[in-house]
Amino acid sequence: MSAHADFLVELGTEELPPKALLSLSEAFRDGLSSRIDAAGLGHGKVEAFATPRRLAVRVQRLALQAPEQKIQRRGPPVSAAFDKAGAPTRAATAFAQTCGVALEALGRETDPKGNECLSFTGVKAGAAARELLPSFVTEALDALPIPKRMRWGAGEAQFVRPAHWLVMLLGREIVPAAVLGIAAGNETRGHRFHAARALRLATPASYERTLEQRGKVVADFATRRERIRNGVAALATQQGGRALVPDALLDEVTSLVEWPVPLAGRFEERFLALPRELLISVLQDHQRYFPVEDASGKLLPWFITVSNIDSTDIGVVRGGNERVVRPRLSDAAFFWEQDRRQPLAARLPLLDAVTFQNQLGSIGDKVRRVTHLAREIAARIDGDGALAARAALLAKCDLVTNLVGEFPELQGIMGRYYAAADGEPAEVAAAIAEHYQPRGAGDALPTTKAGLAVALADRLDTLTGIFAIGQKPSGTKDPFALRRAAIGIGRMIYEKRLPLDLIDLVDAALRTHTVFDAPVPAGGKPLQARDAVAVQVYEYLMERQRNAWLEPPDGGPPIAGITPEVCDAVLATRPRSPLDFDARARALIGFLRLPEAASLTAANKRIANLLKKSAGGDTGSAPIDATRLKFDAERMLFTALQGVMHSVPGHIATGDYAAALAELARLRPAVDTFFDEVMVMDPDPALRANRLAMLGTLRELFTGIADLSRLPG
Amino acid sequence: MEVTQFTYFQQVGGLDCRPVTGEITYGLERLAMYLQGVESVYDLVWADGPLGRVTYRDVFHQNEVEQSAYNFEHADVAVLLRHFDEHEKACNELLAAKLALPAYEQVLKASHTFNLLDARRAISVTERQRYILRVRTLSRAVAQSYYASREALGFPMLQKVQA
Repeated sequence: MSAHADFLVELGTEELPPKALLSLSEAFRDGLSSRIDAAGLGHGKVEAFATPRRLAVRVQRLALQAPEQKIQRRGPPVSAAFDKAGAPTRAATAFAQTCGVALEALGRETDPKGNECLSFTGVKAGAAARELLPSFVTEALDALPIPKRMRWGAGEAQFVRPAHWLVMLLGREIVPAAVLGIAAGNETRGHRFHAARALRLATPASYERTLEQRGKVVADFATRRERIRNGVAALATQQGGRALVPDALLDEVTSLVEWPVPLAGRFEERFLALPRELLISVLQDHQRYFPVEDASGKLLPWFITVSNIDSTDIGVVRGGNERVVRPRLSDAAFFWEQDRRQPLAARLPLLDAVTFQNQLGSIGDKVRRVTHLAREIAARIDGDGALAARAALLAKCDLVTNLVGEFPELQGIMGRYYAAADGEPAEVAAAIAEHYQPRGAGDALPTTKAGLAVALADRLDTLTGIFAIGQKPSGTKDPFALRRAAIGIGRMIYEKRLPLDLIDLVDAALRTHTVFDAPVPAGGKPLQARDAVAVQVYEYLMERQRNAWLEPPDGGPPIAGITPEVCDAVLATRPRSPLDFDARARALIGFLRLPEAASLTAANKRIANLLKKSAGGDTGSAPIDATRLKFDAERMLFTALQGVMHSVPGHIATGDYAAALAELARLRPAVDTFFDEVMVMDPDPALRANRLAMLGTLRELFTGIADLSRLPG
Repeated sequence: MEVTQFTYFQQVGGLDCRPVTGEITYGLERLAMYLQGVESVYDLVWADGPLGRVTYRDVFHQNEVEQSAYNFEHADVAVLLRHFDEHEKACNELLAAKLALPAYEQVLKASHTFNLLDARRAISVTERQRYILRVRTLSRAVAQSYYASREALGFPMLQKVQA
């Protein structure tokens, strides 16, 4: 008997979720092969197969037996193993018994303490692959990344979709197993319509050949994908064009068919007058068709779809596909026509009838607030306030158009088309589309000043409003997507280097909310004051920004040398914007590389503790009395402080934190000497207060940049 | 063209289904369109008898037009918003009185009212989730109430099946 054989596992299921198929298949393959490796079972190539109705993995030349393992066990010390008469004790016989050998078969070894002990050396036979594989398959399936598993029938088994058959073949033998309540066998099944029957597999090696020849199933995902890609491209060429084949759509279509048959269909030329994004959305997102364009990039009245059936009358399939897309295109064309009969601005009154949030009013109310705020923001980022205000006013109007009602994914984009058709300025039209950006991690930011202003204003309005009514996110509950809004605000300011003061912006946004002045609803809790809400919103924004700095969401490099403690030291000073945080953090990281840093950090911690402890009300904020300096060390520190008392705040005011810290670094000898030679907590309250005042001044100079007492060490 | 849809119910009203319940639906109009070879649903032959041919258009078109006008143009948003609140309130009161079945009807009415409001685009994306959550909260409570009432009776129909 050979020492290895090919292994095949195939789980047959109902139609798997197309967007997840590939990742499920890869995770199944990796989960199985890592378990096989961990058991020490040698093998050749590991291949994954995936179709809408099956997940399979084939392991070539899998060792049938795991290697035997050497076992070394230490028993009781010899002194305890035999009594004075030399007879074995219970400890000795018990050890021999657990090792499964006679006492005489045990050896001797010396333990780390130098005692001679009984020892056992043996080998444990490796487990047989056929015994290990059932649990490996079960574990690998249980570990698949499935957000929500379902049950089926009356059983308790759970999987992403109901499972119906299981193949587990090791060489020519069925591996005895039951997984998800299904007994393993050697029969797969063919295509749901072309070969709806059991197909016996002789060996794992014959898997994809059997399925292709007798089952009308192309089991290998990559093979199927390339057949579709080539078939689609060939059909597009026949129509004198080029197919638009985004990877995600190609993967999705590959996940929807077992036997791909690409075919071209036609739609009426009049629909080519529709906006490109709209046509593509209908064809791609709603129908999973590949659009076709000519050499100049203009869409052609063709689409290519991929059927899962090799029909004897392909005309019927083509006709069916053309029939399905026609009403959608007709609706789109009708709405496009209807919507342009009145200008976008004419829809403003309709927004008053759409609720934004019960307490925060209608979308119309929101638009008025955002318009005001966008104008202010534009002015501060060197933009045109009037353009930003116009864009803000029109930004939500497309929501009440018929087209966006039917194709919500085109919100913003249709607004841009309608604004352009109305003759609005180009920047206004662009800003209407851009104000939804960034939609999520990795999405592009607005490119126009007006777009940035409206995007920021819209998010700030939502954030401050929802915080104001006490519905800030808790745990995983974030129904208003405030987290995404906050991250977007941070990214725009930070990546576009916008000179915006976050504290001012939050205040400005809060001032536009009239909910604070509204009477408390019956049974409701009164709202917190604007100031308290402002602090919460600021901290929420900075907390998101802190995460972004430590782990940039787009995988970009974080600031070199950034640590959670550096973040906290800077955040404690309440920087007024992400850019200000950035400048402070970089200066602090530079400072921490100086030889003076450790000692001055320690001094800051010590001062913070002293000030905290001085219960007598000495907060160190009293003026320093130069006449009460008793020792040289005190006078030295005083002189040193005098030297930087004006220059450091000057540097801070101009944002040159590195220069400020460089000056403060020079205080180190004076600070060290002071702490070496002077007892701060002098029994004389006047002397004590004066010393605390000096230390308080020193600490204030530092906290103008960062709170060093929060650093480690 | 899709003509059928199959759904597994893992839960109903937030309660786990054991065994899992299934639902299968067919688009009869779509099937009929294939069989009769017509491009528009309104061209379907509804009946062809001694009194002449009656089409789907004859039977349903006026209704479609009038209901669309109501749903998209005339439905009174303020009234519907009030109705939603009233059905929610009524549902909760009926639940307090342990009347699960009439409470269930109030959920259906609240849910329908929400659909009408949605068709009128009277609810923003932000508020939409919250309305859905309100309907869901009601249906959970109704399901639990009904379950409790049947449990108190000892699940009479279930016992009959097992016997």
